[in-house]
Amino acid sequence: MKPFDTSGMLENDEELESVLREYFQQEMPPELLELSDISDAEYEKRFRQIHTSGNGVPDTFHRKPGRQYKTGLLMLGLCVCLIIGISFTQFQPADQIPVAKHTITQPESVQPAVKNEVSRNSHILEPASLAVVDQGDTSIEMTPQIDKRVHESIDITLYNTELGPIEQRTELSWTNITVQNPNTGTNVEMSMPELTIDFVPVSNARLSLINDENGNDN
Amino acid sequence: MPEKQAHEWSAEIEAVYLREGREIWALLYAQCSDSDRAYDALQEAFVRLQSQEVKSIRNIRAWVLTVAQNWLRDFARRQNHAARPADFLDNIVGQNSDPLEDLERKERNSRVRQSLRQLRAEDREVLVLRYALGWSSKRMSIALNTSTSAIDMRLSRARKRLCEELEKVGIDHETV
Repeated sequence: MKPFDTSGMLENDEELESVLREYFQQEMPPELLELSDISDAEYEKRFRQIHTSGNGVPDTFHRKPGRQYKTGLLMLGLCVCLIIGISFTQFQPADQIPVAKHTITQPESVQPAVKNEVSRNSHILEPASLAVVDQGDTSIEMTPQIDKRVHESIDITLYNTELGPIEQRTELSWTNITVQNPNTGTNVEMSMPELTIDFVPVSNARLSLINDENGNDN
Repeated sequence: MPEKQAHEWSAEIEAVYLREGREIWALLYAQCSDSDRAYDALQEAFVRLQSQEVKSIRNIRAWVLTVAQNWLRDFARRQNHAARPADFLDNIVGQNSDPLEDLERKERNSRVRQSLRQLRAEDREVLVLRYALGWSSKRMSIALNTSTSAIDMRLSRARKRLCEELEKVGIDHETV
């Protein structure tokens, strides 16, 4: 049970306002109650003067957006950065795809290049077609023309054996041959590999050289 | 300090107090919902102003308000670690009015204060400026740097929220 019956005290807005006025009248210190107030026009004039003359101390009377505003701005900035980052990684332009600058160079083909000096009525045949031509039953007189362009590759490997060091020389050479078919009048180009492997003892040559330097008979 | 200059400063501070005292108290009250504490903060700020060079402060009102608000914050921190005195003890001595009326008024004021404390500071601010200082909506709009219609809206909402809080503590308002 309530100690005092206060029901019906606020019948309307005027009643509420009178309650609030009376409440604040009692709340305000008597010393401040006695202070006189200025008019609205005078207050506005003075307020404008303060703001136009500048303010050395921040006036906290006006509620600034404060931390909520700053936090919101910070969150907005973070979101924008996140979106930009995601879009950059997801939708990267094709021309900005990182490409390895080191190009892998294919080793030079040992096989000699096709000779460009071929007559207009000749065509280059594939190895398979060459086999068909070669395996024909009819004998065809061909006039092979050996080109002088020969590409060689030499590989030298040393082996230590019981007999002494031996040098293995592996030599691969290609010979281009142009064959003219008299029946068709076409030229057929072929490349013939030639593999030569030599084993040369090295010690004998060295010894002979040493003997020569020492003045002994060879 | 020359006596003449000190006298001028004291006169200027007094003028500021007479001109701004009520308004600053109302703003402090809107923050702490405690009349005595707001008044103490106001007094403390003006005491500290006495030791300052008034000429170096371009906006005395803002300076006083800032100092008073800081004092309120410090007081709130200290209050958490100190015993709280009974609020009603100071008002018992020296009162010659009817005890029953006093009790009723205290009861009502206590409930209004309790309801006001439940409101947001923004709501208390407009209510204090309107009902403690009797400011018009135009003047409040100048002070709060907003429009008159926005002030009226804030006032209406603050009144409505206050009525809801008053109903919770037993003060009926059938028309709201």
